[in-house]
Amino acid sequence: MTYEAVIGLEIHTQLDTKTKAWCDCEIKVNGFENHYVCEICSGHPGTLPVLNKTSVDYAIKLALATNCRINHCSFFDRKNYFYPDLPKGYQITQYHTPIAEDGFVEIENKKIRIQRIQMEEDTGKSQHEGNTSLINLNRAGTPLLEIVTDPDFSDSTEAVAFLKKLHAILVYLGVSKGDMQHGNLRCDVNLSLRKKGEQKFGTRTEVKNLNSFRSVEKAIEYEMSRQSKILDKGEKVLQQTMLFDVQTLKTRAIRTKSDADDYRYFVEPDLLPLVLSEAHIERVKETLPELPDAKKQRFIEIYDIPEYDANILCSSKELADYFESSAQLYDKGNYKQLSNWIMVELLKLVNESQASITKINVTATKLVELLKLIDNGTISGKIAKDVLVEMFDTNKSASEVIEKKGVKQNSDEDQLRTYAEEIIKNHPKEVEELKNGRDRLMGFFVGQVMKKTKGQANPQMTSEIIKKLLGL
Amino acid sequence: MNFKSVHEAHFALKNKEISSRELLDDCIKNLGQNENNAYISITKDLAYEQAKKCDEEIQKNGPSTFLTGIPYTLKDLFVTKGIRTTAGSKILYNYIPPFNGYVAKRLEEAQGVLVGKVSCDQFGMGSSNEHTPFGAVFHPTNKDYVPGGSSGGSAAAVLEKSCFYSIGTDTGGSVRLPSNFCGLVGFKPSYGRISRFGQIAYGSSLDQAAPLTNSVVDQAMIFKYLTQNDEKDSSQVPLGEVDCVDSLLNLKKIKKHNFTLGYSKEFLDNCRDDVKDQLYEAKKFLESIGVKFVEVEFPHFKYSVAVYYIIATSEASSNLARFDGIHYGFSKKEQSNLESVYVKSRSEGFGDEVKRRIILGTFSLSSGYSDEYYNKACKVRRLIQQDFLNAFKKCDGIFSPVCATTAFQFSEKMTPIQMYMNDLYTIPVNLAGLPSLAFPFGKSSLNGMPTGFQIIGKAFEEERLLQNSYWIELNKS
Ligand SMILES: [Zn+2]
Repeated sequence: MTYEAVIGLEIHTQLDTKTKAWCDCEIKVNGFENHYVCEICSGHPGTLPVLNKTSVDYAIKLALATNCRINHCSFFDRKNYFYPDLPKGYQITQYHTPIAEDGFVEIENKKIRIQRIQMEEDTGKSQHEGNTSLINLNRAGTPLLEIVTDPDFSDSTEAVAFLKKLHAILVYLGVSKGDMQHGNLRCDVNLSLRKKGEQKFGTRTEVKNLNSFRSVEKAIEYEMSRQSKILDKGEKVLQQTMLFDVQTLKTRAIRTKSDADDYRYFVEPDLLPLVLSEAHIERVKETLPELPDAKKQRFIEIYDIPEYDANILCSSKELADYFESSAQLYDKGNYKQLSNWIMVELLKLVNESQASITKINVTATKLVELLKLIDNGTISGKIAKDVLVEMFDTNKSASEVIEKKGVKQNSDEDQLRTYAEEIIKNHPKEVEELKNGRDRLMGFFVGQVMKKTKGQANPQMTSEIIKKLLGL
Repeated sequence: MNFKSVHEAHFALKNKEISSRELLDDCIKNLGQNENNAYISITKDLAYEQAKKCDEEIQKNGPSTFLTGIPYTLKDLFVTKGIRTTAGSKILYNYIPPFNGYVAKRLEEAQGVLVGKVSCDQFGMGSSNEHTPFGAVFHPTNKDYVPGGSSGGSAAAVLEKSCFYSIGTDTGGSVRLPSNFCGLVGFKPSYGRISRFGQIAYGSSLDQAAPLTNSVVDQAMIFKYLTQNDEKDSSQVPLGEVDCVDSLLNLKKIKKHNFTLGYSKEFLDNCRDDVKDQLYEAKKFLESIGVKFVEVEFPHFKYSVAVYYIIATSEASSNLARFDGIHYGFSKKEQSNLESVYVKSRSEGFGDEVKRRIILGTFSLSSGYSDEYYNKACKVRRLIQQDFLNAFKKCDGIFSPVCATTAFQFSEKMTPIQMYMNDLYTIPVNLAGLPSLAFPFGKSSLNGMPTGFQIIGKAFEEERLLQNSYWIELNKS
């Protein structure tokens, strides 16, 4: 039987504010345990939350960037449940009326609808060691945005494309560090299957707390296959909450949802309704940076690079910034060549070393110096690749590496002519064939000169000399 | 004790007729062995230290605030840094807060002398101050009687004169009721006037700090220090300090001060005869000093108790979730699983009345029921607020009973519902967020216990309410 998947995502992103959502504590989740905590975020009696204004502006930014309608009056609610890492016994969230609703994000010509963006707080962390459980409240009260999509995805590729786009937007906006390894961005997947063409939704499962694109991809694929096997057998999928094991790439149920899940939401009496004026929203709007789509368009227009290149370059803000600062130094240079060098050679090195492009030895200035040396014929493109590796590893400049390696391109016309004459003399048969139209033999002669010069001959100059000598 | 009020004590200190230490000596003497059980924690050493500092300062510069050097107490719902704060409950029997709440901080800054933390019904839930493992508080006039609740310790401490004033909390009448039962002035400001930061929450949308004093002018003197803006409470309306002591004292110089009070005949007539008699006496007296009366209606009054017990308990069920035996306070940690830690700690830590209200509130908020209970109660609450707005079109304040009875005896067994009805006349005020001052007037012909009335003011017009009340006080004596 063939099924189609109906997938929706719920994404939690930690906001990169200086202080927590309701208190003045610095956010240092991985700092010394329970050190970045005060009476408010540890839920002492008598304490009250005070809304972090920056977190509101961040929420507005994301809402604008994802085409949402911003509610001029939204409310905070309490979600009541007991857990040791939730010191108040309730989470402050936005349940009935969130700050923003009804937006969308476009991925490859498909619109993914955003149902809502709500402001809420993170919990602390529980750590289980043998028979004891330890609680670290450093994370408690960190401001979060929860982004809920409509069930608009039909496979893992779409879901991952959306997540990457959302991730880029968050980082572009500067509202989140976007560091998935450290839980800045966590994703829950809601997934159900139904027979192709059917309208009714099947029973869905929820896979919680996925913190990498790969986990999202694998979890979706595993759930799709698991559920389809169940349906094939004529059995029913249970409405369950699942966890994904990154080792086995399988999901497992942690609990079965039931009517007993009752969070007894009600309006948080300790916070006022969040009232936003049009003027406030406008002010935030003015601070919005250029977003991935706009940047992509601009790159295509200004730098005349293919859409494919622009897509890759704009997929992360750091990469786009790197390209742009290089392009500015490479004034009126060959931007397609620049884009190739960044996308192919440089990104290969960056990915291999798992470095961040903002922290590599080859700064934009250094890369442009290298490209200019290619352009003026000092080195060949082929040698430049080796030079780049050395620059990447040693923090030397292009000219330093060239100096050290003695790989400077040989553009000494007289010397190259001498070599060429000698080779022509020694290969009368090939000369004859070339003259008779076997153009491919041109490469043979250039190659022979290269051999003589240990690969340093300027290939273009060499080829011209040979042509001239043979009267072609 | 030589001095009856904060006002008198302040001027005596100013004129160097007495020292803070001597005021405190008197208080400690009156406190005795805590016979009325008003105190949960006595901070005698701290008090003497504070009194000493005040005396040094007064010697040099005179008292720098109205409250400098004057002994006071705090209901044990106010968080005090380094001083045990129990909320009158076993679940916090060992809780020593790492921070000062707003009220504690402000009164410390105003150089008050803290005699101790006084008793209350657990988490402010009760009308008799019996509902606490620290033992019932006795009415200082007659030990067979309750002092009222939940701020019973505050009322008993002021009445026994072990302090000059006490700060209580009023969620549904918890300051006005014991003030009424003990013949004191109890003043609940508008909701949002005094920061709630550091006040252990019962019903967050209703709770308000409220002082108990011997006079109206004392209230104005205290009010000044509790009305600063506090950015730690978002629900506070930041209107800034209210200093109306002079505007009250100026009333001494004038002959006429007119205002109109609304009243509901039904309210007065539904009180017990001894209380009703005194209410009509009071009305007659007020008329004699120039107060005009108009009849007003409260069509939604009858829903108040139901609405209150749904909203307050709903909020309480959430506010009290943090007392889980994990982070602080009483804990039964040595359990085989987490759920048992919660169940055992909370079952043993909370008293019956608290558990009753948590269950009621949890039910009211439950899915499938919240529309019928919590959400509907919120709607009716708005109608009750509207009743007051309508009434205020005709008058400056409302004259109302505080309670249909006087203080009652411990032996008078009441069902929880009967107990809840004690708050019938105080509750609507909290639901509407209005200021109200309980004024002592007369004694019951039935049992000799104090009687009185309350005047409910317009929102954030506390100064007007205090002036009107002071006018009554001036003319009464
Ligand atoms: Zn904090």
